[in-house]
Amino acid sequence: MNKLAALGHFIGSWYISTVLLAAVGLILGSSVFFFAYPGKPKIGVINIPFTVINDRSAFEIGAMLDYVRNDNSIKGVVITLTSPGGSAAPSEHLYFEMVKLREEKPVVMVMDELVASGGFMMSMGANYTLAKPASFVGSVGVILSPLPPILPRQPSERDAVTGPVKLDGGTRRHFVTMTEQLRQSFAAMVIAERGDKLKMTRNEVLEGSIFSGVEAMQVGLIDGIGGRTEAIEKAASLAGIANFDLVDVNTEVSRIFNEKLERIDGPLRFSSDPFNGLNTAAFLSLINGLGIDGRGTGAATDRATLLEALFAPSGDSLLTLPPPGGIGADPAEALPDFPLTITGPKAYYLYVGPSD
Amino acid sequence: MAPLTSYLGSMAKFAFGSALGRVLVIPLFFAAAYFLVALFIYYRGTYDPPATPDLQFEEITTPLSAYTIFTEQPEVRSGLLVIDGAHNNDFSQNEIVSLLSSLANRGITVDIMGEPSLFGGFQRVDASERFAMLESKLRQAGSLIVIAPGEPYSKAERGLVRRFVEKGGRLLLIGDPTRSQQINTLSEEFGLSFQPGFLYNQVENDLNHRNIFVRDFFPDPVTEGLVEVVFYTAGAIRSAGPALAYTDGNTFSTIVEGVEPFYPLAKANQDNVLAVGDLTFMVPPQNAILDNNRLIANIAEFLASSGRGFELSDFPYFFDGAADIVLGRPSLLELGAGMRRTLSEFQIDAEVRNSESPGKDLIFLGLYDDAVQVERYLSFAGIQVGETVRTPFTPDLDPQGGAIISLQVQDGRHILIVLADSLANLTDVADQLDSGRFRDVIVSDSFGILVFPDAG
Repeated sequence: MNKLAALGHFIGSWYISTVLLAAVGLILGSSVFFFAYPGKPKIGVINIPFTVINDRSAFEIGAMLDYVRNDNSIKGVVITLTSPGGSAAPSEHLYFEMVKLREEKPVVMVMDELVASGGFMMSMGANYTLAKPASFVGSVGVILSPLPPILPRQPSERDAVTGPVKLDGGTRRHFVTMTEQLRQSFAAMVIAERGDKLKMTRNEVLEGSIFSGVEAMQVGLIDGIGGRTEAIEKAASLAGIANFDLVDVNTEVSRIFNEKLERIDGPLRFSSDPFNGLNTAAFLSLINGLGIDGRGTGAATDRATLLEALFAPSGDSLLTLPPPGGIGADPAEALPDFPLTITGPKAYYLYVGPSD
Repeated sequence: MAPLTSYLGSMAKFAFGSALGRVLVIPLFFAAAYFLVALFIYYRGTYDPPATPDLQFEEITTPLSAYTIFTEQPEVRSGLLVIDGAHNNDFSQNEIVSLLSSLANRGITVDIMGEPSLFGGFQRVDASERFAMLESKLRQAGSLIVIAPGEPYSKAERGLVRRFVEKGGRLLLIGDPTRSQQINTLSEEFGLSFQPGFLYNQVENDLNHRNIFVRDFFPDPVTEGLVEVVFYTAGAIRSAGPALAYTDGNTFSTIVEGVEPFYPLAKANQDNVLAVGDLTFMVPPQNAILDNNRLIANIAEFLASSGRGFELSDFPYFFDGAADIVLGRPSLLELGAGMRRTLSEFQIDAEVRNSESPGKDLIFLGLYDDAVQVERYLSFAGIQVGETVRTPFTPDLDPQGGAIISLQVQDGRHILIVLADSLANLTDVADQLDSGRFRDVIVSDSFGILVFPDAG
């Protein structure tokens, strides 16, 4: 009893209580700093290996950009990109998403092997662009295909069509005009984004040339030469942070995606055997009923195959969940009785590369 | 300073002077201190986002070149123009309708060599048939158009066309960089070379770098009245003859480094061979832009003005729609009627007459004894008929068992004289003229000799 009283007296002595209270303060301070605000800063790293930009890849890249924008602990973003570009509208979408992200946190783009056309447009939304000496960048321009033939389509006795250009959408010259508008809007982006750094004339930009990283730096299409490490340092510098952590955004987004899938799939797997007959069969039946067979080679036969198919980087994935005839479906399937072929046109910001 | 010291003193007094003060102030102090130190360690500045650029999409303008109205009242004449469709040519008739219309305005008949395909272009013609087809068509034609051939011209075919051009036939060669290009297999025969690649102008164009303006022209009937034309994907032409149109300093070729004028329109050394490096400028509606229709009309005029000369092997196409058949003696009447029938198959309106009509083409059928009736024509050609037949082309001939065919052109009239030693042999010659076999016995452009096997 006496010992306890002595311990209480000792703890109650001013120097011991002060130390304990200081420790409480430090714990409180660190908790607020690390778990409430502002947190240990992070740099989000996004790796986009060779990717042709289309609706699907733009959706996936957009999901990663959303993630870094919404995570307050991520103070800067580094994107490593290899892309020859792709469809026009998805490329523009990514550019605008980049600009939106840039308004909140710095984005540094590392142009890897090839960043051309639509990929280059996307990178124009970054604060700072780096390339390697042997990177290929540029190819500012548009491909619109197919153009209507010079000679207009012959009228049909069978179809009632309103307007002389209702089917084609316009004359060939009209489409050439639209192509020019896209070209000029691409030019406007490059010229506005590069500003005084650009050492090329507008016409030189619009020739559609591809440049090595060294050339691109010399003509002001990029800011410097470097790789991911330099990009991370630059992003930290722009964000004004030090001693930061790195976040693998690809993994994080994939993890979130897996968790979402688990919420769909999990309740069906109450058995200890994940491939237990009835539940797995019910799940497969559900998914197959939606027209998803993973690789288009027939119905998925087991859960492992199905999951692999759902996460496949190419081919069908969860994005194809809408059933046939619905959103995103093949127009021929959506309108099976429509007598004409639906051909487009489509605009591309795409670098095709030298022919064989 | 004094109030601050006083304030800190009172805080210290509160913190250390009472248990409650210590419990509140000390943790907060250390928490704040930790926060500030951590902030210093991790955050050295703030992010200053760049201004979002104003892309000014509303200022994007795309001015189009104007459509123009072009009318003409050309001189109407006659003639046949052949268009090559037998070399897998990569065009359709609809694409050249503006040129065809301009030719029709001039009274020119157009004959297309080859059968149009259902899928555009033309059906394939076997190389073995092509030569005969080309030879037959060129026999009649005053002009020839070759557009984007997909198959090369053989040496024999080149020879045929060369011969056609040498006789004054007009040749239009049209290449197009967007289409198959075997045109050099023919054009190089005339010192013309269609260059690979295409011309472009990034500074000034009709909405696309490939749509180039041309405003600099060499004086020539083909460029008469032209101020500004637009070519929609043109290739450059190199020529030993005069270039008719020059590009400006902002126009480049995709394959030639550096600045030089390029020629999308040129003539060969021969004035009757014209080369154009673009087809699409004449495809509707692009034919109606700026002076394109005027250029098309000038090209049509070039083609319609053929002064092509004919030779004996071209029988009967050298007769200009009508001819008199004069017989050396009444016994040849049946032969004359046969000849008339033959000519009518070629849309030549021939009549058997007692004597020739002034200014009209003439066919004279007779025996050697009748040669005196056409002596003035024979002597003009250097031919004497007597004991022997003397010609500038052969050693003296024995008239027995033989026949001669002579073609002369005098004052624009074509005069064909056929003489034989007997009615039987004269009939045989008429048959050979009908069947075309006579071409095997031609010894010069205007003279043929037939020797019959049973000649004594």
